[in-house]
Amino acid sequence: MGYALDQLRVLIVDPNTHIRELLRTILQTVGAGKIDLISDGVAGFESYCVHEYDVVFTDSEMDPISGLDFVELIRTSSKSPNPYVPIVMLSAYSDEERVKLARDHGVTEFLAKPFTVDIVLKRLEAVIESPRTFVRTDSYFGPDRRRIANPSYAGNERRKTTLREVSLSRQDISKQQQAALSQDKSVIDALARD
Amino acid sequence: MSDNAKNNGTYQLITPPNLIKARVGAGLGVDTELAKRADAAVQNLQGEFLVRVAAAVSEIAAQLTLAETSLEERVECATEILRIADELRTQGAAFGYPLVSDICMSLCRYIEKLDAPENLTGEIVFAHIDVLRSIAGNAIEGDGGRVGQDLVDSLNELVARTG
Repeated sequence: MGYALDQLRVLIVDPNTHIRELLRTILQTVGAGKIDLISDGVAGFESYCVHEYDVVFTDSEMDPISGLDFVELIRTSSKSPNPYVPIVMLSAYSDEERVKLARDHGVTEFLAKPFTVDIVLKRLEAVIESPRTFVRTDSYFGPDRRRIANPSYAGNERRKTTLREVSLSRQDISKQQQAALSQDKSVIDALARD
Repeated sequence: MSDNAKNNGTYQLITPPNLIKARVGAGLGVDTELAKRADAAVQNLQGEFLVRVAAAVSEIAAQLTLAETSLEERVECATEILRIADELRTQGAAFGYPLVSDICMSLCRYIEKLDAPENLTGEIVFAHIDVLRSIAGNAIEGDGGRVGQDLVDSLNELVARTG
C-alpha cells in the first residue's frame, strides 16, 4: 500500500510556468492533496508563512530573490513558521559547487533539471523516509550536511563539542508557527529591495 | 551560512518531528500504479511541448533577424536566445524529448562562451534550430537514436570550434 498523499500540502516555487505545471501534474497524479504554485521567492515566502506546508520545491534561479535566499528565509527568518520543512531545490545547474552552495543554504534534497517522474518521486520518498537531523552552529542552521555517519572515519572531527541534542515535538513547531504569524515583513522586503 | 566558522566551533543537533511521514501514513512509497499514471500524464503533455518547441524556434529565428539590425540589439538577442534555449533544455527530458535538451544544451554553451555579442553567428544558431524544427515537425521522441546522437555530437563539435 502506498502513501496517503491526499493530506499533503506542497509549495512549488518556480518562475517557469511549464515546470510548475509539470511538477503539479506529477504530484497531483500521485495523489498530493493541495499544491500551491508560486512564481517567485517573495510571494513564495509570504505563502509559506500563512500555510502549513509539508514539503517545498523551489527553483534556484529566481527574481527578485534567489532560490538560495528563499531557502535561507525559510530556515532562519523569525517569520518562518517551520524552519525544518523539507526543501527540494530544482536547478538546471548541477555542478558540485552549486550543489554544495545549496546544501550550505539549508536545502534538503537537490533535483537537477531536466528531471523525470521517477526522480521527482524518489526525492519525495527521500524526504519522507530519510528525515534529516538539523544542525545549529554559529554560522549554519539547516539539515545535517553529513548524510551518513562514518564510524571508521579517522580524520579530524570538525565539530569539537556537542552543545546539546534536542528532539522537538509537533507542539514545539506549532508554538513557532504562532509566534511567526506576528512577525513583520521587513526581512523579506529588505531582500526584495536588494 | 558558510562552512568557515564551524571548523572548531560548537554545535547543536536537533531532531525535528517527521511531520511529513506522520501526514502520509505508514505506506511503503508512492503507489506504483499512481506513479505509472503520472508518467502517462506527463506523456500527454508531450504534444503541447512540441508546440512550444516550434514556437521557440520561430522566436529564436526572429531574434536572429533582429540581431542583424544593430550591435545593441545583438546583446539583447543573445540574452533572449539563451533564455529560450535554457527553458527548452530544462523541459526537454521531463517531457520525453531528451534530444531537445541535448541540442539546447549545445546552443546554451555556444551563447555562454561568446566573448562578445558581436560574435554571435547566425549560422551556428540556425544549425541548432534546424534540428529542433525537425524534431518538432516529426515528433522525434527520446534521444533520437544513433542519428540523433550523431547530430548532437556534430553540434557540440561546431560549438567547440568557436571562440
